[in-house]
Amino acid sequence: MAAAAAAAAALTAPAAPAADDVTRTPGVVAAAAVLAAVAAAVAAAGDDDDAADAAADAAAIAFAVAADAADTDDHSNSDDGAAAGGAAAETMVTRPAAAAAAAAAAFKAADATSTATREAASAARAAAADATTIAAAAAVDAAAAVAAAVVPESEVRIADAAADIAASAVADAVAAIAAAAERVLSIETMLAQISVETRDAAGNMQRSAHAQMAAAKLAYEAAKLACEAAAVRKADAVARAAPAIAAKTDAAAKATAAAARARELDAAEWVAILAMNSAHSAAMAAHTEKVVKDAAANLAEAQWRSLHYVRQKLTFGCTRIPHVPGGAPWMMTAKDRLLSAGASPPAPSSRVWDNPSVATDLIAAAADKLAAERLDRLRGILGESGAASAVQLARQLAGVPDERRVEETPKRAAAEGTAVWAHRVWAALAGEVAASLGDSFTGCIGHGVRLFTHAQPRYPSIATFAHIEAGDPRDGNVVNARVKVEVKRNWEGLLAKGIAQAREYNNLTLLHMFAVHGADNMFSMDGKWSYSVASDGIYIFILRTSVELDPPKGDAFMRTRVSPPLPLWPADIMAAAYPSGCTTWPGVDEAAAAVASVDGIPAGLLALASLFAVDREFLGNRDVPLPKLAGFVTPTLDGSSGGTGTAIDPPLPPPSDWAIVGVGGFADVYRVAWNNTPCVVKAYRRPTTRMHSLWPEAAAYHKLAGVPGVPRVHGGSWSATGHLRALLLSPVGVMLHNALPGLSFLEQLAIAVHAAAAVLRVLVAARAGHGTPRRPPAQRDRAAGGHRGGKSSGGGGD
Amino acid sequence: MIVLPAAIAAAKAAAAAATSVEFAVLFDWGSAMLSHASRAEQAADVSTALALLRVTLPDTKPLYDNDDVCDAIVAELAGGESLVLDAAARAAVEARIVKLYASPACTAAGLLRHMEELAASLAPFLPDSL
Repeated sequence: MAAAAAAAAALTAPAAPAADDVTRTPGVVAAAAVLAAVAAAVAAAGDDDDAADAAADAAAIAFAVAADAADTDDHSNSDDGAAAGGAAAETMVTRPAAAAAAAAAAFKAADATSTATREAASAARAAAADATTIAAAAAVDAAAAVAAAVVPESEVRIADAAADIAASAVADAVAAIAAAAERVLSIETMLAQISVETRDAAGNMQRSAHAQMAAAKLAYEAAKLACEAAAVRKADAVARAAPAIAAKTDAAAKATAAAARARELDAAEWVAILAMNSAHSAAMAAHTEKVVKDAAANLAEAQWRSLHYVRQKLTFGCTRIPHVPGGAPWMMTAKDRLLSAGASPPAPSSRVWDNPSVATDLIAAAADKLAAERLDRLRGILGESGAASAVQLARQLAGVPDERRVEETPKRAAAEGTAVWAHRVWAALAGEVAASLGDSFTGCIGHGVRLFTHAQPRYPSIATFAHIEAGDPRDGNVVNARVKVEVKRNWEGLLAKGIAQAREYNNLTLLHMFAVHGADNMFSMDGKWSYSVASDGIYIFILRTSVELDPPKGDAFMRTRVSPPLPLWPADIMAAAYPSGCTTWPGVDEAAAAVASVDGIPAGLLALASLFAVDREFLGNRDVPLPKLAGFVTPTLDGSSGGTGTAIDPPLPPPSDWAIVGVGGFADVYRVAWNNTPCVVKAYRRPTTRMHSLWPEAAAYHKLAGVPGVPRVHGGSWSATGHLRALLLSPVGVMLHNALPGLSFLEQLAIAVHAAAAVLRVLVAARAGHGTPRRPPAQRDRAAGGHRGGKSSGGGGD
Repeated sequence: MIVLPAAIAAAKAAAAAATSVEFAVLFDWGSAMLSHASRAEQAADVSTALALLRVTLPDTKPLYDNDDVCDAIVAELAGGESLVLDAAARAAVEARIVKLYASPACTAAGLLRHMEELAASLAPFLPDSL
């Protein structure tokens, strides 16, 4: 809109200066028009940014709304959520299109400006040319007038000369008459005084004088007549010369004026040309800017589409496994089947096999953490002699034929006649490696860590082990898991399923990254990668899955680099584990050899220690947006809109001091110490209505107060729109799923049965009169829709 | 979400003393609809409670039917757990599991009685480590 307005201003600008007499001449008008057009072009370019930003903001808002709808609805209606997600995707696609449209509008404005400027400059040049022609014609006219005036002026000059001569003759005649008269008088005087003879002579002289005087009078008369005739002729000549002289004067004046005008228009033409050049430059700049913006918009769209595709692939990578309550059997991909059949690894587009740099880069990054003393301790792991030590367990495992090795179940191991299983070896190894690293190792090793993201609420992944950033191994989750480990019972299982599962852990971590940061932010976010490990207790594969951008192509893609299989143990154990060898495909040994061992420490063991010790940033993005909550107040729960209760005392520590312990379908849970009491904060991500907030849950806690097993609510935080967004609860316990790994079946069953009994007890107590909250029909319908029990908010799914 | 108390040992002691074993229960399914639940909703509660037991089964067994779950639990007890349970204890636990899954109860109250019996028989096996 703004760009279009600027273009219109550019087109109408030439008319504006015409109101001023000073600038009414065509050249000046044209120059003013051009300058106005340039200004309009600059304004258009500036407005284009605003338009693009406005379009981007609108698209972002639309995306936020759609994403909000998708996320909010996913616990009430998955189809609606999917539809909303699709709408969000469509909305996001329009963002680069809006930018491109804005850029096109800017270019159109600049183009219109340039056209107007060119037209104005052409007009100026035409005017200058006309003026020059007029000046030349005036000069010719002036020359003709001068030529025409030459003859009359000559005649005037001749007549003037003749008049002068005639006048001179008259004067001479008058003088002659006077002289003759004086002579006659003197003669008469003399006659009176002289004799007769003399008188005769004098009489003759007197007659002669009279004759001379008469002749002089005649001459006078003649001269007088000649003088009068000359005067007449002069007057006539002057009269005849006057138009030519006037024409000459007029022509000269016109020629002078035309020349001045021509000079003026010539200058105006130069101004117009300069302005046209400026307008052209501005148009070219706008065009260049449009091209750049078009390219940027196209790039952004291509990147977004690519990232969307990557997200779909990540989702597919996490959902291709059918959901099974309590577990997840892994499907083999065609590639995995090929591998399990002993074939060479194919050349996949997104999985790079036998990539030694995955390990060498890791070892190099952790080199400063693995000082000589720690390397000695790491080497010492291989010399342990205790029966429960990792190396002795590994030796024991290697002694079991690989087809009879057991993955995780002690009773099955016992049935196979062995007291060792792959998980046991790995647990011992991980513990000893962690201990050898001293203070370079932080956190702990979790077993059976559920990697759960609200982006895929129905499909949690359970990592066999994980190095997590928490003091309690049961607190592992997708956010705090540094390295995820999948352990299989032998090489065949490792290739058939283990690597695929390890990659899935990375996929899920990246998917959660997409979920919490948003696809748009993935462009600029650093650390779009994740590390995992697949192992059979003998070999170790290191996997690095990353989302990578190819800026020139606007392409985004997912790539998993897999290290060659690296030995965890000395050569004798490796040989005993697989006497006939197993790393049979071409090039794998060379790739493995590229990962050098250090002073007797096998490459796999060194790489594992490096994974545990390396800086967290090396392992990928760890940012978790903290909830922005208003202050917590004592919940009134009396049906009012809330938020008006008394502030809890003491106040809650800031969110930066909270530790995330899980993410659920619509809420996140954080561990927080408050009033010397371990508590949790359960925060609804996007509350939209009372029923889509924590209100129903808080109401239930309120009604069930005093029922054994029901948490106590200490406070609540309300959103700006009046919805209950967060609850402060105690006591803090252990999530059921996190409590079970590592326990015997009987222990697990005992816990699960008691938990189920507790749930039933609460329900019975509530329906026996403790709780009487009523719910609206919509809530009843949703509950009847089959979602009951299928959701959880804190990393469950229980 | 089911949240267990940090000290299950205390719960175990309480169980040994034949008192109520308390588990912290944090849940969000149906949390606001505790009364006036329809029959279908109460049946869903029963299914949910039984589904909790599935989390103890090996991950590689996709079981959707309650009978299959019951059989799998019994099979597990007859396998490795036979090293821990004597025959009488195992038979008692198995009988209660079968009774639980065979129960026609479709309400929380109806199922609770069977679940309490099973919980009491399993109380000695609550781990000390938690």
